[in-house]
Amino acid sequence: MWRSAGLVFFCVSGALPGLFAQKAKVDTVLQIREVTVSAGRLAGAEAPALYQIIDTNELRPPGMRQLAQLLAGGSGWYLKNYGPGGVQSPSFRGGNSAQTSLQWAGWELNSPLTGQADLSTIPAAFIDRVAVSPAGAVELQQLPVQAGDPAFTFSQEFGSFGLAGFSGAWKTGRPHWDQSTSVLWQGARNDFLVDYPGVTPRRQPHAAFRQTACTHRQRWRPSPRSEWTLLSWFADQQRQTPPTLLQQRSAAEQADRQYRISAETLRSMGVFTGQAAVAWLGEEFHYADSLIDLDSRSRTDQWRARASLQWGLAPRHELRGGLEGGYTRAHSTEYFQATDRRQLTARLRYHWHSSDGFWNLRATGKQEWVDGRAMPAGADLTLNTQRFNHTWSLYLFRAYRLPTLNDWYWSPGGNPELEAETSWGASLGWHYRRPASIWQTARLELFHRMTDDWIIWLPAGSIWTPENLRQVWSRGLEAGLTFGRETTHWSWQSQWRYSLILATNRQTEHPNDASLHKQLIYVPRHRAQADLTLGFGQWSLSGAAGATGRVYTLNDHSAHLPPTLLFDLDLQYRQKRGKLQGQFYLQLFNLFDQHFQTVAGYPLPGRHFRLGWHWQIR
Amino acid sequence: MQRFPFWLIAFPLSLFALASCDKEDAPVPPVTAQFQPGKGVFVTNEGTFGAGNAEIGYYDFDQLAYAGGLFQQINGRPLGDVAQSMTLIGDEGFIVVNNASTIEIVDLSDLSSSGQMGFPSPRYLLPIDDQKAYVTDLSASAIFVVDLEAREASSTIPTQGWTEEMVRIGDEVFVSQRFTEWVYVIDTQSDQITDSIQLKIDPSALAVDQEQKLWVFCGTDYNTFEPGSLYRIDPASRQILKEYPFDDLDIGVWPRLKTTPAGDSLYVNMGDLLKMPIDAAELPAPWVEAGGRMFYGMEVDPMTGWVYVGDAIDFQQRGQVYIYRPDGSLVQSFQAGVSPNGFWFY
Repeated sequence: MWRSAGLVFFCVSGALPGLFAQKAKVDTVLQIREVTVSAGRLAGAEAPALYQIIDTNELRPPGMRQLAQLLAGGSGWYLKNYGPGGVQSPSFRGGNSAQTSLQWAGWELNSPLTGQADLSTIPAAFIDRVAVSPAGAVELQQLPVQAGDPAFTFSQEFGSFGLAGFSGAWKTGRPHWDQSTSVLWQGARNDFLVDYPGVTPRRQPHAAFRQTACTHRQRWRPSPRSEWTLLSWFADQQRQTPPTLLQQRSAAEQADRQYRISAETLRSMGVFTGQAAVAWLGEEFHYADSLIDLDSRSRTDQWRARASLQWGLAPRHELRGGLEGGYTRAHSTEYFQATDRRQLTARLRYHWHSSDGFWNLRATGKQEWVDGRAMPAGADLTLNTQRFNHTWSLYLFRAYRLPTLNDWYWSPGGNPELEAETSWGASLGWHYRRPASIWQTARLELFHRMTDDWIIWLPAGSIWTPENLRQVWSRGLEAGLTFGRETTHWSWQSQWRYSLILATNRQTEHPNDASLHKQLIYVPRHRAQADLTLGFGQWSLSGAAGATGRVYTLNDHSAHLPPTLLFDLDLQYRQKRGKLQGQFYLQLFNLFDQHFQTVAGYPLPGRHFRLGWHWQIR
Repeated sequence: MQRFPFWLIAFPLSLFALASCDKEDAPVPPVTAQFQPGKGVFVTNEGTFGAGNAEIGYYDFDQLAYAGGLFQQINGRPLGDVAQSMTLIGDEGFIVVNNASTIEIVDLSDLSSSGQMGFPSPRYLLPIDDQKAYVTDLSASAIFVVDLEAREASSTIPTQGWTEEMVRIGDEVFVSQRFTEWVYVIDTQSDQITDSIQLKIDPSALAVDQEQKLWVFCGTDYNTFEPGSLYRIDPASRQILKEYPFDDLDIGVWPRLKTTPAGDSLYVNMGDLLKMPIDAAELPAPWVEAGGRMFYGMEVDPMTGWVYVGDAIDFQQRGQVYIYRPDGSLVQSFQAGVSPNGFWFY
C-alpha cells in the first residue's frame, strides 16, 4: 500500500514544477517543434501509410476507456475479453496475443513471463496516439505538448454495475521545457446480470475491478540541437476473477502492478543525430485462489539501454544504426529459481525519398542475441508512393517472437529447447483521401503472413509443456470508407470498416488432428463496423454497429460462438465559456441487450450505460 | 438541394451482409433416449477447461454408433465445466463435474437429471454401500463422505491436498494423493484414515488385480526430474511387492491403470498402451503404440475384455475413441466429444 502511494507520489511530484508554472501563466502553451525520437521503434511520426494511426484526442470523449476498446474498433483486431475488468488480450490479423508487440517509448511492454500484453491495464486517456504496424506492433505514443492542448482536463464518469472513475491531466509548455501529467482512478463491481439458456440467472459475483494509474512526461530542450525526455508510468490493478458461465463460484483474485521509467536524450550534430535512452520496466503479479489453495507470485525487472546514430548520407538518403541491450530478471513461485535473460540487438535502417517526395523507401535489418544465442534475423521494407489523392504502400517483413520466460522456465513443463516463432509477410495497401468531398477517405489493404514454429502448450503427463508445432498462414483484406458533410448548422459523418481474415493451420503431427487447413479458433473470418455521427449545434448523436462473424472455439470447428451484431449509442453536449470547455455524454452499450461472449464461458454484460463529463481549461 | 448520397451506403451494407453470412446452426431438438443395461457404454467428454463444453455421449453396442451431447439435449442445459468422471450405482449415474463444483445425478435409463450435489472441486466418487460413498476433491483437503439418500455430504475425512483415485479392497479404501508420496488407507467403518503407504512422488492411477493386490502409478518427480514407477503392493501388509521403474519422464497425457475382466493382466496408459501380466518381471514393450496420438481415458469392457481408449488430440477439438481387442487388433474407432476421459459400462 505505502509502496503504491510512494510511487504515485513520485509520479505526480514530477509535475509539480509544471503545476506552479501553470498557475503563473496558464494560457501560454507554446508551439514546440516536432522532433522524431523514434530509433528502435516500429512506428513514429513518420509512420508509413499502411500503419493504422489512432489519435485518441480525436475520440471525444475518451472517458475511462482502455486501449482495448480503441483497438477493438479498428479493423483486423479481435479482442478476447474475459469480462469487464478482466484480462483483455488482442489478436491482430490472426495472430495471438503474444504475437502482438505492445511498445511504449520504444520499449516493449509485453510481459516477459507470458509474452502477453493485457490491454485492460492501459488507460486510453494516457495515450495521445496509437500506431499499429502491419506486423502487429502497437506503439503507444505520448506526444510533446502541442499548441492548443488544454492546460487542464478533468473527467468523471459513472455507469452501470457500480462503475465510477475520474481522470485528470495537466500540461505545461515553455520555450525550454514542457510536461504533461495524467492520473486516473476507476472501479466497478461488474455485477451484471448473467442470463443464459440453461444457466440459472444470477448477478455476476466476485467480479470487482479497481485501477489506479498515473503517468508523467517531462521534456527539456536546453538548446535547439538537444533535448532530454523523462517518462514514467505507474499502474495498479486489483481484480476479482468471476466464475465462468458454468462455475458455481470463484474466489480467485489477481493483483498486478507496472512501474516504468524511461529517460532519453537526443542531440543533433550537423549531419549526425545521436540518441540514447535507458529504461526500467518492472511488473508484479499476484494470483491467489483459496478454493484450490493456489498462491502464485511473480516479479520481473527489465533494465534496458539503447543508443543510435542517424547519418544524413546525402540530401535524400539517411542511415541509422543502433544497439540495444537488455537484462531481465524474473522471480516466480512457479520457477525453480530466479531466472534472467540477456539481450543484445543491433539495428540498421536506411531511408530514402525522391526529390519530388512522391516515393519513400525504408529498409530495416535487425539481429538479436539472447543469452548468447543468435535469434533469426529480422527485416522489413516499406515502399510508399503518393500521387494526388492516392497513396500506394508495400510492406514486407520477416519477424520472430522469442519464447517467453514461462515457455522456457515454467516449473514443471518449461521447455528450454523451444525455438523462436518466425514469420514473414507482406501487405499491400491503397489509400484515398479527399477531405473536401462527401467521400472523404477510402482504404483497401491486402495482407499475408506465414508463421513457422508456432508455439502451443500441450499436456504431457500431469503437466503442460510448450512445443513448436504449427505453421499458420494468415491472409485477408481490410477495407474502410469515411464519408460525411458539414454545413454551418449541422454535420454528419460515417465510417465503415470491414475485415476478412483467413488464418489456417498448415501443419500437424497428430494423425487425427482435424485442425489442419481450418480457421484458427478465436479468429473471426468476418468483422464489420459502421458508425454515423450527426451533429447539430452543440449536440451530437452517434450510433455504432459492430458485426462479428462466427468465432470457432474448437479446432475442428465443432463448436463456435454465434455471430454477433451489437449497437451502441453516444449522445454528447458541448459547452464553451471562455477558456473553459465542458462536455457531457451519455453512452449506451449493447443497445439491444444481446447475450454474447468473446471467449467461451466468459459472459459479457448486456445493455449498460456510462454517464460522464469532461472539462478542459485552455 | 443536394440529395443524400444513398449510393454510398450500398457498398458498406454489403460488407455487413458479408460479416453476417456465418449463419447460426438450427437448434438441436431435444431427444428422448432410452438406455438399457448391457447395451452400451457412456463416455464422459471432459471438455475444454473454462469453456463449459463437457458432455456425455453413448456408444451403442447394437448399432455400433455413438451419440454425443446427450446431457444437454435431454436436460436442456449444459452439463458444466470439466466432466471428470462418472460412477454408476444401480440405476443412477453420478457425473462428477469438476470445475462446475457439482456432481450431477442422472437416471441411467434416459439420462434425465434427478439432482445435484455440490463440492468444491470433486474428482471421483466411490460407493461404499447403498447408503454411503466417498468423493475425492482437488482443493478441499478432504474426502467427503456422502449420504446417497440425502444426496449431500454427511462428514469429511481430512487430508492434506488433492486426493484423486480410490479403490476398495475389503473394508478398506486406498486413495492416491497427488503431488505427495502417499497413498492413504481409509477404514470404511469408521471413515477415518488409519494408515498410509509411502511411495515415489505423485501417485495417481490405482487398480486392483485378481489377487486383490493394489497397483499404483506414480508419475514423474518434477523437482528432481526422476522418472516415476509402477508399484504392486500387498494391501494387507502395505508392503511393496514389486516396483517397475520407468525409463524416462514420458508418461503420456494422463496415466491410467485398468485390469482385464479376469484381473490377471494390467493395461497401462502411459503415452503408449502397455499390457502386462500381473506377475510380469518388468515393464513390457508397448501393446499399442500411440503414434502421435494423445491417449487419454481408458477402460476395459467387463463383458468382452475389449479396451476403449480416448484420443484427446490437442484438447481443443473432438477426440477419437479406439476399441481394441485383447490381442491389440483394432475393432473400431469413432469420434466422441472434447477430451474423452472415461468409459462407463452400463
